[in-house]
Amino acid sequence: MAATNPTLQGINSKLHSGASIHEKLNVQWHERALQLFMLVVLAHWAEHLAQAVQIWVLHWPRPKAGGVLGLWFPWLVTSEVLHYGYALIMLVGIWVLRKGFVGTSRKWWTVALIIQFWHHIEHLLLIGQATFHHNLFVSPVPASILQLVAPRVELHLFYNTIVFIPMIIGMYYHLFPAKQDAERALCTCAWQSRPAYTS
Amino acid sequence: MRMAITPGIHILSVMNSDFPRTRDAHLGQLFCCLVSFLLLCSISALAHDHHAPPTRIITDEQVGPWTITVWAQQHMDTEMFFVKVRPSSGTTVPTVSDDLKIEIGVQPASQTSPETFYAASRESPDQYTAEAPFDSEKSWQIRIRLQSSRGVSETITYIGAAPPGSGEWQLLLYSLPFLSVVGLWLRVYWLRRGLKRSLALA
Repeated sequence: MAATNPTLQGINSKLHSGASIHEKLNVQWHERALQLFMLVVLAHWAEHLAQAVQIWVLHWPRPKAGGVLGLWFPWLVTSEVLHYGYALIMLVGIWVLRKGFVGTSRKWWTVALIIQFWHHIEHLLLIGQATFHHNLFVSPVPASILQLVAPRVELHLFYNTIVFIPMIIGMYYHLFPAKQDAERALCTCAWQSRPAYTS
Repeated sequence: MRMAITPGIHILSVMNSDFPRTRDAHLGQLFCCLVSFLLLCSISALAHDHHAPPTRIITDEQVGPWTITVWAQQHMDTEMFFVKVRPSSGTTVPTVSDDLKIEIGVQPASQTSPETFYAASRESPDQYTAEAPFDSEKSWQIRIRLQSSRGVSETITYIGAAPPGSGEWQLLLYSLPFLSVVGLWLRVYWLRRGLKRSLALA
């Protein structure tokens, strides 16, 4: 943001010389960090999309349709580690980058954080049951809580969708904020700020 | 313009410790510990994945001297069967005997092909597990056969065909994130283009 403005550059370099990584991630690195985070999120969705294309367009048998990663690492796709690792990355990413959001965008981002936190609890329950060899709810296999209410729904898809929707709405309000939100924002994500410094 | 007032706001907000560093550091350490612990735990759960949850197909049914509850869980192209056994009340058998063997017989409900039996392995004193190749788009007849020194008993149940998946809807749903990100990008593109044009006119 201040890169093309010598005055601002000086102020920011002094201001952030002792800033923590968390501060930097939510101020001058927020835009880049969000782009990187979205890349990870989209890569995950791309895997699911590839899997759906393999099944519904290419008509591959389901066991063979493991997305792109599944072609080389079939064990990875069926392991809890991959799903749990992604759930963790999502939780950490949403949590760490939340401070950079203000006003309406922060509300939506917080909704995504809450849902992702619950998603993570569900994973924790599954892993806990598998680790301690004690299944809850008289189930013969580890079971999560939502499975009891909606047994036939594809939970992974469901959770990722309901986390993604508030995330993208939050991103929208972050990129195109209302005037009062734009004035409070510290990062460079809102598109209006760019032309002012680059022109 | 926001740039005219933001430097002051920057200084005040950050210096007013919107990000208290010590608290951050403690939280960070705590979180790292938690993540390490969970990742260690997850290694032991390698075998577990996102299959559909098991469905109870038989509940507390008396089969000879035993009472059984059976779950079926759909995997990619197989079905896992979990059989929980306990001695029926009123029988003289105190526990599940060691010589009890369970087989699962699978046959299309239309009986167009012969019945195939799969032996269940004993997972715990009262739980047996079997896996059978299974096309979930057909209806199946499932026979649970219990065999021990006390004789052979069996029961039959049916599993209906799974409703056909809506591939088009799934494709649309998986495309939604990409469409929304493209939407965001297009909005930025149009706004920038409009701004450039107005600057050029000015």
